[in-house]
Amino acid sequence: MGDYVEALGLVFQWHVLLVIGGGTLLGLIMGALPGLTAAMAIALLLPLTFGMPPVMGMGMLLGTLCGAIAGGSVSATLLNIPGTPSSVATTLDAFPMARRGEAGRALGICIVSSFIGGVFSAIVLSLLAPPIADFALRFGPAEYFALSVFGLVIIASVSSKSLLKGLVAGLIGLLIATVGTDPVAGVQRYTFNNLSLLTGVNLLPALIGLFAVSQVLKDVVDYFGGGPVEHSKSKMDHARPRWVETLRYWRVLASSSVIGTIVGAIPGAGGSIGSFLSYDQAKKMSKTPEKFGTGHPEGIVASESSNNALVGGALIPMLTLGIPGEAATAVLMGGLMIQGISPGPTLFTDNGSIIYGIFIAFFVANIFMLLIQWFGIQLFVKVLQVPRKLLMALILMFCFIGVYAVDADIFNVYLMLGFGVLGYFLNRYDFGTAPVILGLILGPIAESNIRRALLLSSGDWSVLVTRPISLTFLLVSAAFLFFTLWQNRRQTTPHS
Amino acid sequence: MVKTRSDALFHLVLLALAGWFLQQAWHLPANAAGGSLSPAFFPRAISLSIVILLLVSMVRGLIAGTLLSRDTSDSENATPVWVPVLAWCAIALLLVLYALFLEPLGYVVSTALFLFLCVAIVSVLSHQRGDAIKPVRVLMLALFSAAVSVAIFLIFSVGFEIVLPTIGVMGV
Amino acid sequence: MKKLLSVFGAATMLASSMTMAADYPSKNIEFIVPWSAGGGADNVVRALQPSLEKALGTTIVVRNLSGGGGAVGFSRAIASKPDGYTVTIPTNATFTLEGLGNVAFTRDDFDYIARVLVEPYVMAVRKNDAWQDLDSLSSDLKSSGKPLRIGASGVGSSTHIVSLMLGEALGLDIEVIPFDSGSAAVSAAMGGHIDGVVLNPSEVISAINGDRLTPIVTTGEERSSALPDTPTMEESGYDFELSQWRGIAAPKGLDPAIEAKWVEAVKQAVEDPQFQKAARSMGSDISPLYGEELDQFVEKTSKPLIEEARAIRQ
Repeated sequence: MGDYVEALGLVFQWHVLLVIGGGTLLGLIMGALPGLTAAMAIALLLPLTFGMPPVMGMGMLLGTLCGAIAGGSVSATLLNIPGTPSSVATTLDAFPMARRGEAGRALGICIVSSFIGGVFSAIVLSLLAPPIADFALRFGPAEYFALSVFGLVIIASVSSKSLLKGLVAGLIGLLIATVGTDPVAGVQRYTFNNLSLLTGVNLLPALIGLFAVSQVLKDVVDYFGGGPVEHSKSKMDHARPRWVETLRYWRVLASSSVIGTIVGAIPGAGGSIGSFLSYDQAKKMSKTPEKFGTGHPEGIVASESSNNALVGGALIPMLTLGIPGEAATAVLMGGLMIQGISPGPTLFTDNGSIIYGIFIAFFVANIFMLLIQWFGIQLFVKVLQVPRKLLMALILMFCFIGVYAVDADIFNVYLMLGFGVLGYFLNRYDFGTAPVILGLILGPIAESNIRRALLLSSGDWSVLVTRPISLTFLLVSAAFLFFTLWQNRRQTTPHS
Repeated sequence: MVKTRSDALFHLVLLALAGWFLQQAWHLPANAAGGSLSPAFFPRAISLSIVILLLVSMVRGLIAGTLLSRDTSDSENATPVWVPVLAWCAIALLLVLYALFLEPLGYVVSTALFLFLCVAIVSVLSHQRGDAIKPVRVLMLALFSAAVSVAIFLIFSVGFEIVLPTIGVMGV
Repeated sequence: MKKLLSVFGAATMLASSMTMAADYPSKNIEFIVPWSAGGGADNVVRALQPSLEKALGTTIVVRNLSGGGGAVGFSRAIASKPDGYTVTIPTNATFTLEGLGNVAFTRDDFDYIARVLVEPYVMAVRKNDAWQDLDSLSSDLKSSGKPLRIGASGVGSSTHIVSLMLGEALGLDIEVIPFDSGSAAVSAAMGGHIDGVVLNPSEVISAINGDRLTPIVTTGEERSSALPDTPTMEESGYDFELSQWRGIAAPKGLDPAIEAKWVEAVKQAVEDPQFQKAARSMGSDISPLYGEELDQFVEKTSKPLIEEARAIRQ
C-alpha cells in the first residue's frame, strides 16, 4: 500500500503529467501516419528518457504506445489505412461507416471503445498480472499452433461475400507467409537471393498495399465511374465521442476487452489477431451478424476495445517475466533496462513504487489518449474535406514514405505496389483482403509451431489433442467453423 | 466499366501463380529432421489447396453462370468506358515510376513531381471538353506539390529522424 | 596523361581525405543497426548514443534496417562510403551470416573500430532437482539417455551454432529447437516445453532472478558480472571460450585519423556512468578493445562460428 501512495506521488507531478501527455500526442500523430509504428515512435523518444526518473520516462513511452495504437484507428477509419495490423479489423466496419458520411460517428465510437478497452486492461494489469503471466507460460508449440488454427477459422467469418473465395484469399496469405528463410530448417524458400526476402515478406508493405493502395486504385476508377466517392458532408459536424451508443454494446465491450487483454498477454501470438478474434465473437453473439462489414457500430466497438486492451495485456509478460511479446514492448523493455531496471518478478519486490508508478502512468496515458482525441476529432474529420483528387495523391504519398521508412528499403515499396494491385483485384472479384492479412500473420505462427511441436514429440501428432489448452482451441475452432457455416446458410437462404 | 469474362481471367491468373508456387515448391528439400514436417510441406500443401479451391470456384461459377457473365452495371454512365481504365493504368504506371525515381531523384523532387502528375492526370481525364485549363490553377498545383513535399520531408527527416533518399543538393 | 590524371586524382583524394579527417565530423553520422528497434543490439546503440554524440560533437542518427536477420543492414553498411559517416554494430551474427552463405560480404569487408561490450553465452535449464550444475546435468542425461532439448533464438543464429558447439564440447546429446526470438525460447523453457536455452545473459537474467531457470555454465573468458555464481567452461575443465560481442565498425577503408577520433570517443563513452548502469542492467560486461588486439579477437571468434555455420548449411 505504501508503495502505491509513493507511486501516486511519482506520477502526479505537473512535469510528469506534461511529459506523458506529450508522449501520447506524438504517439497519436505517428500512429495515424501509415508506416510509422508504435515501436518506431517509442524508439524515437527513448533517448529523451535517459535523463528522466524511471516512472516519468516510462510514462512518456507508455503514452506514446497508447497514442500510437489509437492513432492507427484514425487513419484506418478515415482512409482505410490500417497503421498497424491490429487496426485491420477496425477498417472492416469503421471505413464503410465513414464512407456513408458518418466519419464523426465512427471515430466517436472508436474513441470511447479504445478508452474503455485500455482502462480495462490497465485494471487487469495492476491486479492480475502474475497469474495471467503464468497462464501465458503454459503456451508451448502445440498450444500456439492450436491458437493459430483458431485464428484461421476467422477467415470464414470475415469473408462475407463468398466463403470459397475467402478461403482462397486466406490461403494466398498463408502461401506468401512461407516466403523467406524457413523457421526450423533454415532453407530458403522463394527468396531468389533477394536479401530483403530472407526474413520473409514484411507485414507493413503488405498491409498498406492490400488496404490503402488498393482502395485508392478503386477510388480512381470510381472517380470516373460515378461511384460513391464523395463523402456526404451533412453529418460531419456530429463528430464527438459516442458514450451512450458505445456503452449500449456493453457485452461486446466486456468480451472484447477480455479477449484483447489475454491474447495480448500471450507473447508472440501475433497480438494483432486479438482484434480479429473479438470481431469474430461479436459477430457470432450478435442478433444482426449480416450487418457486420457494412459499417456496423458493434464491429467497431469489438475491434477497437480489443485493440487497446492488447496494450495492457502485452505489458503483463514484459513486466512480470521480462518477455516482450512484440516490437513495441521490446523497445519499452529496452527503455527500462537502459534505466537500470530489469523487468521480471524481482521488479515487484525490489522496485514496488516504480512498478505501481508504471501502472498508474498507464492509466493516466489512457486518459490523455481520450482527452486528446476528444479535442482532436473535429480536426481529424476535416481530412475528408480535402478535395478527392488531392486526397488520393496525398494518401499515396503517405503510403510511400511510410513503407520506405520501415527499413529504408525500396524493395518494400515495390512489394507494397504489388500488394496494392493484388488487393484491388481481390476486392473487385469478391475474394477480399482481410483473409490475406490473417493468413500472413498466422501462417508463420502455425507453421513454425506445428513443426516445433512435432520435433519435440518426435513426430507424434497426438500432442495436439492430449494437451488441454491445445485440445480446447481445436474443439472450439471446429465448433466455430460449423457455427459460421450455419450462420451463413441462415443468412443466405431467405434471399434465394 | 465492362468486365468481360474478367472473373474467369482473374481465376486463371491466380491459378497460374499458384501453379508456379507449386512448381517451385517441388525443388525444396522434402526431408524432415526428427519426424517433423519438411520445409517443403507447407508451400506444397497450401499451393495445392489453392489450385483445387480455384478449380472448384470456377466450376461453381460456370454452373451459376457468373463466371463468364458480362458485367455492364455502369454502362449507362456518361463517361466513355475507356476513361477509368486509362486512369487506372496511368496511376499504376505513375506509382511504379515514383518508386523507380525515388532514390535517384531524391525524396523532395520525386515527390513533388509525383503529386503534380497524379493530380494532373485525374484532372485532365475528368476534364470536360470545352473547358479551358487555366494556367493559374496549374501554377497553384505546382506550388502546392512543391510545398507539400518539402514540408513532409522536413517533418519526417528532422522531426521523426527517418532517413529519406537525398541527392545532396542543399540538404535535399 | 592518364598517369598524370591518376596522380592528380590521388593527390586531391588524399588532400580531401586529410581535410575530411581534420574537420570530422562535419555532419550527422548514420549508425546502421541491422535489426529492429528493441533488440539487444539496438538497446546497446541507443544507450551509447548520447555519450558518443557528446564525445564526437555531432548528431548520431540510428537507422534500423532489419531485413534478412541482419543481412540487409550489414550489406547496406559495407556498400556505403568509408568516410566515417556510416557505421554499424558488428556482432557474432556478422560471422554466422557469412558462414550460412546468404550474404555477399565477409568479415574482411569491415574496419573494426572498437569492441564495446561482451556477453558470454549461458546455458540455462528449466527447474529440475536433478539439474543443479554441469556434473549433475550430464550424469542425469547420460543415465536417462534422453537428449537435452535446447531452444535457440533462431535458425542459423549464433546461439544455434554455439548450442551445437557446446553439445560437442561437453559430449552431450543436444537437440536444438530454433525459436523466432530469444524471448520466445525463454518462455518455452520457463513453461517447461523445452529443457533449456543457450542465450546471452541479458535474455535470461529475468528468468534466472525469478528462479524459473537454472544457469549451468557460461562460455566467457571470465565469469559474467550478471551471473557471478555460474562457472565458465574453462573453470569446469573444458577448453572452450566464445563470447557474443557488440562493437562499432565502418566499411573497409576508413581513414586511420577518423578511426582514431572514434576510438577516443568510445573510450570516453564507456566511462559514462549512465552507460555503465545501462550495460549492467542489460547483463553485459564493458570490455573495450581496439586496434591490433581487436583484429586478433575478430579472427579468433569468427573462425569457429563460420566453420560451424557452414556445416549447418549442408
